[in-house]
Amino acid sequence: MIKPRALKSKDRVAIVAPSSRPAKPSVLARARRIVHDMGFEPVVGKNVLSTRGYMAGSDEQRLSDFAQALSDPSIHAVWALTGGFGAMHLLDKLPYETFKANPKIVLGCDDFSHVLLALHQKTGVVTLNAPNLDRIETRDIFERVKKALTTTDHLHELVHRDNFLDDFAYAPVEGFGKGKIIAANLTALVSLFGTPFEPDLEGSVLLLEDRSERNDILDRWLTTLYISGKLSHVTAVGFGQFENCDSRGAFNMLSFEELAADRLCPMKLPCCFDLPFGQSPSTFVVPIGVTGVLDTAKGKLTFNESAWG
Amino acid sequence: MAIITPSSPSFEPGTLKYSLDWLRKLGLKYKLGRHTFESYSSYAGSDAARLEDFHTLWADPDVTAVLPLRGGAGAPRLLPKIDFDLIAKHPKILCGFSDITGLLIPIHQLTGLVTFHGPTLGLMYENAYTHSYYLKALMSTSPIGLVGDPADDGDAWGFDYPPRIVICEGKGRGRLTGGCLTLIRGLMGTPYEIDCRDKIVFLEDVDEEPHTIDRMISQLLLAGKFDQAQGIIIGDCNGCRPGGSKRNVLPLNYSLETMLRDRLGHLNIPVVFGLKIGHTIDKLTLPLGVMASLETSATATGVKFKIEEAACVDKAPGSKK
Repeated sequence: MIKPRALKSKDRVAIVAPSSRPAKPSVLARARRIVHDMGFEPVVGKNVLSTRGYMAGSDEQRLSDFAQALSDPSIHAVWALTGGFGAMHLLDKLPYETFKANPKIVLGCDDFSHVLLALHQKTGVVTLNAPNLDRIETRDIFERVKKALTTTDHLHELVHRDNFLDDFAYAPVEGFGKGKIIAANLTALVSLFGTPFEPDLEGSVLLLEDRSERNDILDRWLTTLYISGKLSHVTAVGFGQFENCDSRGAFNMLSFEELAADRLCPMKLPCCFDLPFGQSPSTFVVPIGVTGVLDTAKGKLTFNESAWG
Repeated sequence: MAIITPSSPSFEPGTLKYSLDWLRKLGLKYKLGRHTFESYSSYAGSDAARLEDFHTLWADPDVTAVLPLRGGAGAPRLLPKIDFDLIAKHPKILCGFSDITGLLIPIHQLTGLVTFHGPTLGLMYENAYTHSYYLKALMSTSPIGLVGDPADDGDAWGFDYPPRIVICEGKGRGRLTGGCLTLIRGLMGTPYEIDCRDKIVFLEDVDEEPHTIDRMISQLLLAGKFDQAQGIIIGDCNGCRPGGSKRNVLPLNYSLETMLRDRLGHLNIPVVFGLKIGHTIDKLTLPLGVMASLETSATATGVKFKIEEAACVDKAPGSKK
């Protein structure tokens, strides 16, 4: 495992869009301001407002911005502006060796999850699952990410907080899992299966999230994970936020909790739901590749080490 | 015929009766799985119930063909507990599409049995084209031969979308494999992952956004699946247009054809888009495992897709009859 160095005031942070284009120019202007207000210097990719189909420009344009940001030694961190789709096109062309020799903090989520997982798998560098810049919408998430980027201490633990009950977590299988943390968007994780960028899940604590999917589609991708046999080598599964995921009006469709637990319970694999991990401003940030412990009964994930050197 | 529901249920007794009437019309006898009318979430009963029907009817010596009533979702959930040795010992016809792809590819690959990507039982009489290819594939011991297009219905106002769009010109020959892209993607990284080596690979889907198809195609590209293939046939992909999924719409979408040209246009094998496979009313029945050839050129009549080998034999191997 390789840890990039924590950020310092005045460090240069690249704003990139390797997937889709931001909805409007104000999203970019706002993102610049956020990076600036955190005390860093924003460096905007040349092509972030370009457009080709559902992507922020052609593969060549997106690759040029992103590879430049990863390789340029004067850039200290690379932050995704928005998700969508398109990062997968770039995975076989990224400068992995250069990045490994000069590691830096790379953060984002949603479609960018492909990149975080691939960079970690190919280089061993710790990457950071955190909201994309277009979801930094509250003071809380602003401060959490700023703290996470600049600290050399362990990152803040994740604890499920019920709106009303002080001490409640839904854990179909109570227990502990300890190991390397792999935090992933479920759709992205399964999209890497069978490719050279598939994460090694052996001995991992696996955190999963997704957004805007129907329960049975989530079950499809969980089924892939299940029939791959890889869940038997995972020490615990923490399900995070599944924003806007539901049965889409199909009354007889069971919840994702039930569809997931009907495989995990017979395996006696410790698992819990509703960890504050996902894409929304209420998420906590999770470094991919550091070791940690998930206590499913308490719905609590703690980190055993710092994320950055 | 054994009628099973390994995926989602059909709760319309009238539809089932109509399907059974069709079997009688063809002179076929049938049995229904014991759990046909059960329900668990969007699946036709628990995994255990669906497995029990599948195994019981597959082992039944009176059964020649196992016909899923419909697709939907749920078949891949059964895979870790399917008895592939039992299937290999009692070779039978299995025909379906969509979610049934999750059985067709694993069973074909792990047992060597030819399986059939064609209508589920409830759809085999949908129209003349569908029905004729169903019979050619399942009730004949001759090769299907050159695959034709649905006949022009003579409607002067009908929308004639070109049925075959050449993405890459070329010639290829190999055994057939393929199915519904969502299912193929769901088998990646598992013991049931599609083997595309030296194959003619057909892919189709329904009501998915172009970017979602792109995601799945990209996964297969990154996995090197198309470098190994001899040819690619993309189905009509009914409803796979921007907004078609009604759930995952990204702004600035572009068409499936543009995406396919961008992603597959550089390949050195024949690639054609628009054949009637899977989720279209006109539906071919394609046997997985038989030899086929594909020739594509940009001229008007330049696509030749030929199934060269018979999919069925007169007697099951090892049969004493």
